Amino acid sequence: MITERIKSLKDFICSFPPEVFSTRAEIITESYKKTEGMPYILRRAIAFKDIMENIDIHIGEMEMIVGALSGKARGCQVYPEYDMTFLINEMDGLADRNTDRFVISEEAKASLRDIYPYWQDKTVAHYASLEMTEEQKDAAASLVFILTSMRSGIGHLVIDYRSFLENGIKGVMENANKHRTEENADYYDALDITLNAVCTYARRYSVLAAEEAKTETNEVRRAELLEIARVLNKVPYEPAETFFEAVQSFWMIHLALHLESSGHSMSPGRFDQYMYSFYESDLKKGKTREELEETLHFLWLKFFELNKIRDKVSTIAFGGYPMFQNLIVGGINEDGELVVNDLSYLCLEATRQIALPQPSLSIRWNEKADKRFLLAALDTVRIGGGMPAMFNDKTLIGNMLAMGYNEREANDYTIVGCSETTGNGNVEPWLTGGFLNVAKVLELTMFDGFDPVSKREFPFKTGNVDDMSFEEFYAAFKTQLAHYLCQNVKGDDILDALHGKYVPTPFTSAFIKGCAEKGRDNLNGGAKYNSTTLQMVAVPNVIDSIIAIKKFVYDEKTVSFKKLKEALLNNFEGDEYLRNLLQNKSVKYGNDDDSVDLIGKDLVDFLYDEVNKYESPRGGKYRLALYTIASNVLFAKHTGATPDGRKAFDNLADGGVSAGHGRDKLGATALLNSVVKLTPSKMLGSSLLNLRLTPNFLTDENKEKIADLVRTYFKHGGQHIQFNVFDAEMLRDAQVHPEKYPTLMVRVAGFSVLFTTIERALQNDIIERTCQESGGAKW
Amino acid sequence: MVNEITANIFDIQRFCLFDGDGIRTTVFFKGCPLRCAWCCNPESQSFTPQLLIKPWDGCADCRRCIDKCERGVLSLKDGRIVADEEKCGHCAECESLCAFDKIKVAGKKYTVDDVMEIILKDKDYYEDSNGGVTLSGGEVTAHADFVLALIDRLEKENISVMIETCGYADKDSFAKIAARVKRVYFDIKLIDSAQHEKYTGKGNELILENLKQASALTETVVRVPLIPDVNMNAEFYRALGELAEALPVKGVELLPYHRLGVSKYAELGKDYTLSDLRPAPRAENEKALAEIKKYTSKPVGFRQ
Repeated sequence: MITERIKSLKDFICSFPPEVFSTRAEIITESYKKTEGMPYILRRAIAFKDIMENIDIHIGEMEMIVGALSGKARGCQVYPEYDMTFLINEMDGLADRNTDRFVISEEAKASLRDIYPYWQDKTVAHYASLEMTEEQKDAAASLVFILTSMRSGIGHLVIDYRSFLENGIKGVMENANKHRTEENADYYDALDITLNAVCTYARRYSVLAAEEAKTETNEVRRAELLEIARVLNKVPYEPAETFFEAVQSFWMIHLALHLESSGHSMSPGRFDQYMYSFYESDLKKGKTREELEETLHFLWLKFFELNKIRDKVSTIAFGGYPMFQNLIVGGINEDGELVVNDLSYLCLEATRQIALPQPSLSIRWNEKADKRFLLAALDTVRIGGGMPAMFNDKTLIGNMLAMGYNEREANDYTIVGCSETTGNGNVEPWLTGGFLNVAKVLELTMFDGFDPVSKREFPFKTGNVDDMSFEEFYAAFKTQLAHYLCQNVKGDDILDALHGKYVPTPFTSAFIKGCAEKGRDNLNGGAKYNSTTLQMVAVPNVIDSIIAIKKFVYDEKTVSFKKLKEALLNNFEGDEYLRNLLQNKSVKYGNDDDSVDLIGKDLVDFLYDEVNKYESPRGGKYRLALYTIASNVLFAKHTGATPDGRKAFDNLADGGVSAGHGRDKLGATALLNSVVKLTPSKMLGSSLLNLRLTPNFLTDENKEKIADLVRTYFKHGGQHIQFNVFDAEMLRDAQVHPEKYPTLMVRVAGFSVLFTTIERALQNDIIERTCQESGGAKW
Repeated sequence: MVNEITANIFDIQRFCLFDGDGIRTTVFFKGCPLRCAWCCNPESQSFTPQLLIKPWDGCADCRRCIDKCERGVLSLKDGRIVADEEKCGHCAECESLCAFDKIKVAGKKYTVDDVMEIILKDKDYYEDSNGGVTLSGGEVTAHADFVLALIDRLEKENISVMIETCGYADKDSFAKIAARVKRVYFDIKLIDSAQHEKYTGKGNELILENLKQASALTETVVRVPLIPDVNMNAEFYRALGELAEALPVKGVELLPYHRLGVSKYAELGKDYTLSDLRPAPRAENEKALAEIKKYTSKPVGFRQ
C-alpha cells in the first residue's frame, strides 16, 4: 500500500528540475588550501570532516527519513578534485541540454569560476593527461574505448552495511583502532577523523530537527521532528535498535559515501538481509507492516533523490540521472540457507508502488526458492520499469568461487551498479576499468589501423586483409583486439594509481573488510579482495560481422574483401543489395545456430584469456564482462558501417549479450540458448541480457510461462536477465509529447530511467530492440 | 536413407505460448482438405510448396531472381515479380538470392529427424513449464504416417504432444493420432453442413463424428473462429453451446476474426474472397461469448 503522504512527497520531488550546488566545492577548496603539504590520506579526511561540518543540510516538510546532498531535494554537488573543466565549459548550457538537465544559480557559477584556477593542475583528469600515452589518448578520442575513471570518483561497491547497523560507528571505530599500527598511523587517524565527522553530520540534522520542532505548529509534525531529532542523536554512532533507526542510520552513511567521492553505483546490496532482524523485531513489538512499509517508501524516495552531474558526452552513455544503486533481494545466506523473507517481498512491492527508477532493484534467484517469489518479481516487471533484474545464484556463486572467494563469501555475493558480481563488503571491485568498442577494433583490423570515422591512422598494424585467408584475417582481428584491450588496461592502471595517490577514500574504506586490517584504504589495495572489470561492447555485432565475412567473402565468394571494404567506407551507398545480403542472408547470433554462436563462444574464450593476463596496481585481477550500460549508443555514433549489414552510426547491440536489434527472430528460447553458448561462467565481471516483451503479452497465464522461461535459462547457466515491457507506439508518442509522460520508466541496460529524460538516440535504441512474441518474429 | 518419411512443413515456431500449456514448439504442416474463406494462413492449404512473393518497388531494378531461375518460373508483370508455379521445382535459389527478403518458398520437406532436431533444442523449457509440442497446420491428420512416426519419437523423449485440427480426416487415422496426444484443439466453424460446405468446401458430417471420437479419446477443446456474417448468429451460438454440452469436451475457445493474413493472399497470387469483411466490434465478440455460455456449463473463453 502506498500512502497519500508518500504520493504527495513523490509528486513534490518530481515537480522541479534538479539543481547543481557549489557548496561542497567551496568547502573542499578551502580545506585543500589549508592542508597543502600533508599526506593525501589526511587531506582527504580533513576535507571530508570540513564537508560534514559545513555543508548545507535541510529537512523536507513531508519526510521522515532525512538527509540530502544539498539544501534541496535532488540537488547535486561538485567534486572539483576529479575534474572541473567540463563543468566550467558546460555550465551555461546545463538547463537546455538534451538530457540530464540541471539548474544552476549565477552565484554558484561565479563561485565555481572563482575556485577553478586553484584546481586546474590538481585534478585526476589533469594528472591523467600527463601520464597517458598519445596512443591511449587517440584511442579514447576515437572511441575505441572509454576510460570511465577520468573525471569521476570510483564508487561501484557494496560496503559492509550490516556491521555498522548492528555495532554503530562506535563499533566500527573500535574495530579500526584494534588494528592501529604506528607505521600506518595516518590512515588510522583518517579513519578516526572521518568516522567522527559523519556522526557530527548526523547530529547537525538532529539539532536542525529539534529547532524546527520548536516553531512547528502542527502537533503531529512536531512529534515527528522530535523523533527525527532523537534518532539522529543516536545513530549512526550507536547501534540501531528499530527498523526506523536502522533505515535512518543506513541513509546517513549511504549519503555520506556520496559526499566523499563522486563515484556512483554505491549499491545497498543485500538490504533485505541486513535489515530483516530490525523489521522482524519491530513486527514482534507490535508495529504494523503498513508502518514499516511507509518507512521503506520514504527511503525509496531518498534513493531517487540522490543525484550527480555528468559531462555532456557521458550523458549519452549514462543519461537519465542514473545512480545505479543496486539493491538486491532473495537468494541464500553464507551458510547456504534460503533467505527470501517478507522484507524481500516488501521491497518488490515498494518499487511496484513507487514506480521510480531508483533504487535499481534486483533479485537473486535460487533453485531452492518458491516460484511465488519469481512471480512476485514479474508483477513488478509488469509495470514496465524493467525492474527487478534477475540474477542466477547457480552461475554467480560459481563465478565467485572462480574469482577466489571462499564458499561462504560466494554464497553471500551481491550485485553492484547494473549487473556486476561482487563480494559483500569485502572488495574494491573497480568495475570501471573501461568499455572496449569491439566493433571499432574490427574496423581497425579491416582497415589496417586506419579509423575511417575519425580519420586517424593508428600505429598498430596487422596488415592488409585483402589477400588474407579467413584464418589469417580472424587471427589479425584477435591480435588487434589483444592490443587495444592491453591499451585499455594500461590506461586504466594509470587512473587506478592516480586515484589511490590523490583521491583516496578513507571514509568509504572504514566499511570495507580488510582495510582496517591492512591499514590502507580501498583505493590503495586495502580491501580483502581486489579486481578490475573490463566491459566488451558490441560483441554480437562483431560475431555477426565475422560470420558474414566468412560466408560472403570466403565460402561463397560473393564479394571480395576489397569490395566489401569499399562498400563499408561508402556506407553501402549505391550497394543496398550487398547491405541487405549481409543483413538478411547471413545467420545471426541470437537464433540458436551453432555456426554463428560458436564464433561468439570462441571470441569470449579469447577475451577471457586475454583479460585474465592482467593485474591492477591494487593487486587484483582483471575480469571479463559483457555489458554496455548505454555505451553502445555512444560508440555507435563513432563506428562506421559494419559487415553485419549495419549502416554507419546505426545502433550497436544493447545489453552486452543481447542480440543485435531485430535479429533474434526465433523466439526467446532460441535467444537464451544462444546466450548460454557464449559461456556466462567466463564473464566473471558481469553479463547483461535485455529481453523485450509487449505489455499485453505478460498476462497472468503467460507470467507463469515467463517465470518458467527464466528458471530453465538459469538452469542452463544464464547469468542475468531483465525485461523491458512497453508498447513501442507509446514510447514514440512520448518522444513527440514528453509532457504527457513525466514518469514513464524504461530499462536501459542495468538501470532504469525516466524515458523523457534521456537522449533521442538512446530512446531509439530502446524502441528498436527486438520484441519477443509468441512463436518468434514472423516473415 | 531408404523410404524415409517426409512431410511438407511451412513453419516451425519456437516459444509458442498460445497453443497449449507451458512453452511449446508448434509445427505447421502444409496441406489442408478445407478451404475456409477466412483462412489466415493461405499458404497452409496446398500440399505442395508454393512461392510467396511480396510486392516491392525495388524488384524491377533488381531482377536477380528472374535472371538466375533456370526454369524460367519468374517474370516481371506490372512492376512486380510473378511466378508460373507449375514450372517451379522449389529449389529456393530465388529465396537465397533475394537479399531484400521479398520472396520465399512456403513449405519445405522435412524428415522426422529434421523436425526432432529443432524440437529438442527447447526440451528443458518444455519440461520446466509443463509445455511440449503442438502439431498444427494445414491439417495435421492429413500427414498421418509422418505424424505417428513423430509422436513415436516425442513419446520416447517424454515430450507432451497436442494437436490443432479441422477434424476433416479419415476416421481411423484421426483416431490413431487423437489417442496418443494429450489434448486436441478441435476447430468447429459451423454446425449446419450446407453452410459449412459453402464456406469451407466440405460438409461437416465427418468433422462432427471425429469430434465425438476425439472427445472420447482424449482431452478435447473446441476452438471456434468467430466470423462476422458467417457464424456470428444466435442459431450458431445455441447449436455450438449444445454441442459442447452434449460431448465430453473440456471447453470452448473463441478466436475473433482478424485480417492479419490478408496480405499473404496477394503474395500467393490469390484473391481474398472476404475482402469487404471487417472484424467484429469487441462488444459483438463479448456477446457471442455470453450467448454460447447460455447453452453450456463448460468453460467458454477467448483464446489468449
